[in-house]
Amino acid sequence: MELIDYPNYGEKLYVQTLANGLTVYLQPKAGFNKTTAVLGVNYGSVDSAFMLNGEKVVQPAGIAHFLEHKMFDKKDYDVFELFNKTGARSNAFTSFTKTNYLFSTAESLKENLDILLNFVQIPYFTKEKVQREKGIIDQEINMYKNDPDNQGYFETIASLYPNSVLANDIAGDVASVDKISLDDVELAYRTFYRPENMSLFITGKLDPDETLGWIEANQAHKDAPVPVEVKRLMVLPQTSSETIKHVEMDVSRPKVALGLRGNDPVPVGREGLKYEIAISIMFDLFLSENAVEYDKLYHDEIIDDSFSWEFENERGFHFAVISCDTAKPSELIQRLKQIIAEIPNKINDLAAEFQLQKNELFGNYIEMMDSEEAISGQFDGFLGEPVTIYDEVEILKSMTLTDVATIADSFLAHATVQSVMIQNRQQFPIDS
Amino acid sequence: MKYEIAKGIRLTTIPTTKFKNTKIVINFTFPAQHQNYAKLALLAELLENCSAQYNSELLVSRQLSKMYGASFGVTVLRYGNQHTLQVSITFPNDKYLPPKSELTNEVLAFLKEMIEDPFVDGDQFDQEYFRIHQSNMVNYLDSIQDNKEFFSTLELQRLYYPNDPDHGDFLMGNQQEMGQISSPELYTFYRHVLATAKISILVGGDLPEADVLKGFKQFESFNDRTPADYQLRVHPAPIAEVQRGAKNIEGSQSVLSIAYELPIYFGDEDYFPAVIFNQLFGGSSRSLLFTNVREKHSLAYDIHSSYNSLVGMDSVQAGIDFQNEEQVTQMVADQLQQMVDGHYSDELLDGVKHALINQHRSEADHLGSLIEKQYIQQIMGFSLSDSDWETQVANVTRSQISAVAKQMSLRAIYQLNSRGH
Repeated sequence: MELIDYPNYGEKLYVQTLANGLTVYLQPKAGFNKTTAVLGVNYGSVDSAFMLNGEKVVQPAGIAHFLEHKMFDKKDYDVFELFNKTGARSNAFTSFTKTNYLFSTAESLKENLDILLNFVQIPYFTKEKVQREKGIIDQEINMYKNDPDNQGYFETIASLYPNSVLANDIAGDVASVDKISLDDVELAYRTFYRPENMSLFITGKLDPDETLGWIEANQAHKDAPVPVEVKRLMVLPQTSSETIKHVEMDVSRPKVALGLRGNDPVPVGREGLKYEIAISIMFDLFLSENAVEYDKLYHDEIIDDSFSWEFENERGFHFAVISCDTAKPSELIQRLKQIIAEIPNKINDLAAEFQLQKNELFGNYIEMMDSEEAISGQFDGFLGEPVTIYDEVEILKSMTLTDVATIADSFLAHATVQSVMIQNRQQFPIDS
Repeated sequence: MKYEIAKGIRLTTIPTTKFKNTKIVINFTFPAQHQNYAKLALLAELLENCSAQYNSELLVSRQLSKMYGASFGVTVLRYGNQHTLQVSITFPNDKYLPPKSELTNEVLAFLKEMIEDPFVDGDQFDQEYFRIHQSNMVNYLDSIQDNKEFFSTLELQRLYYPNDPDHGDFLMGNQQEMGQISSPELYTFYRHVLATAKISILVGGDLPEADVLKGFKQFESFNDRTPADYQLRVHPAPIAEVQRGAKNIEGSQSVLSIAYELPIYFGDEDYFPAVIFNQLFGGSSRSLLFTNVREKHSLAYDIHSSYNSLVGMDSVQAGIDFQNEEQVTQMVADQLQQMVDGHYSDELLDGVKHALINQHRSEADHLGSLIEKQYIQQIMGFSLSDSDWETQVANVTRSQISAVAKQMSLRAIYQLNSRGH
């Protein structure tokens, strides 16, 4: 096992790629009772079109999320029953580019690891089971559609990436889910649920050698999948012009979301993480509670505590979404655009503010180090090299204001902007 | 370790070297009265965002960044009949910070400033500061309707306690009450809270206790007080019939919420059977509700039950299609009957017990959970060692669970109806 030592934080990471291609990451936490394991598949909602052994395949939107649901459903039992027996907590999530299966437990680690690896690596799909899942997923989709904040977020991404896989919700919609067939599910599984396209990250109470031994023994029992040649086909057409999309929903106050689509290339691995942290600092310098620009918007009563922004840097695309409830939606959009436009000119003058922001982020990383959920949640096993939060904090420490300014310039110079306003019938479409 | 800072002010430390951070929680408590709900919520907002020295939101925020991004918050809570203003802060240990850092003392001084020296102008909060935060709170209260599940939970609670606003009202009051508070009135209320509330401080982490004790002894307002005792458990008044409420909305899903009275409280003989009952009924992902309503009939994605052992209530919530409302309501009643009749496998029961023990052990890995557990035991006057806790869970029998299920009495149903697009 490769050992990566983080003496500053008294932590270690063990890495081993198994014969079948599965990469295992073990990060023991001294004194902890609990262990958290995440089996990640490098496959998400954007991967619905691909070349498989030279043939083009296009699958219905929502297929990755559908597959995630179906993995729990076995011939005569549900995987939750197995975890119920051991008392572990388990869950799964699908994002744009990943599907994660996880459990946490304070006992029977080996048994739970076997359950996790076996249920994801040994599928059981039938026509009837595929059909029955659709009703549940329809209710899940309707739950998201009932939430205006969720809708604002996904409408913004759809505006940034029209006519593309990113224009769909992660779960798809009722019509696309209805189209999913047993063949689709089987083909998607064969294509992406392969050991070399997965990573297993375990943190908490664990003995590295013993744990790796368990995993190796489990994997040795499984036949290697037939090799395939896969090429993902994600086409993201450019947007034609900047628009404000109006959406009618029953909301108490208008909700505004402003999206920035990154069109510059982002490096992979550690350099990609550096890019991500730099853009976060850039937003903090202008749009966090520490920023004079934020303070002005707040005291002009254009924004309140519902204000938030997030930056997503994923395989093949990166974007930011800024959102807030406001009585002055048009003014907010205009003011945000003005603030963003001035960033390149102002950022170099913010040396003291930059130092303060680094301080804060540094403390935030220390806070995350006490949480298995944060340690495993921050980890991305598909960057070409292992990058844990202990690495991220080192990237942060060496970051300079010039780094941030350079990366901000690259992002902003090429970014395209789209906005969404969610308003109720009385507010719609008249605007303040 | 337990210390008394002054009469009515207790400090409890939970020393541990397991974590890289420290957490301090200060609870100011008094009996729950609805007249105070909006006031305490607004006070929390004002104590969190400014002080005399840090007289803008920006300055408070920057001070927190200076203290390595310490997570600071002031919030309101209700533990049964106890109304609570909670101040909390989490910050990294000096060990991981640049040499010579003394963050603990800086944090204690910050807390003292925020609690004892608010942003005031004479005998009232600074008027512009007050106005803007009051307006934000009114907007927040108004926005709750956008969150259908939360809105339904609050409406269910109102129905559950007819003519009992101390328990039926939302903890943060309503828009009207919030809008009517004046700045001088709130300042008077603040002085009253500071002078009379029972105060409980909890500190968890790797800290020299002497420094902490010394720090809190410097709080000038932490003087002797004699808070009255009161019953924490909430006992709802009897009702003649099931309370029903409904509202039509434009949305993509209906939310069905059902509340039962379950008169079993934390520390009661039946407490562990009640916890296990809830897990079997709708609390776990193998529960009867989850298995039958979701997995077998595909009628819901989310259906769950929750048990509140301070108020003796068990409630069910599900996101469903409007046309299935009657069917789901009947299925919920059927699953409860299955619980009374003991129609669940031994395997499921063993699993639920296992899961509770597993989670109990896992809680020791969360500093926040350790502090919360300690506090609940303190206010309820009931504590168990970890091994006793596990034995009690393991010893729960089927007949005890049936006896719990029989005590469930339907009290309120709220339907947020969306007939779809």
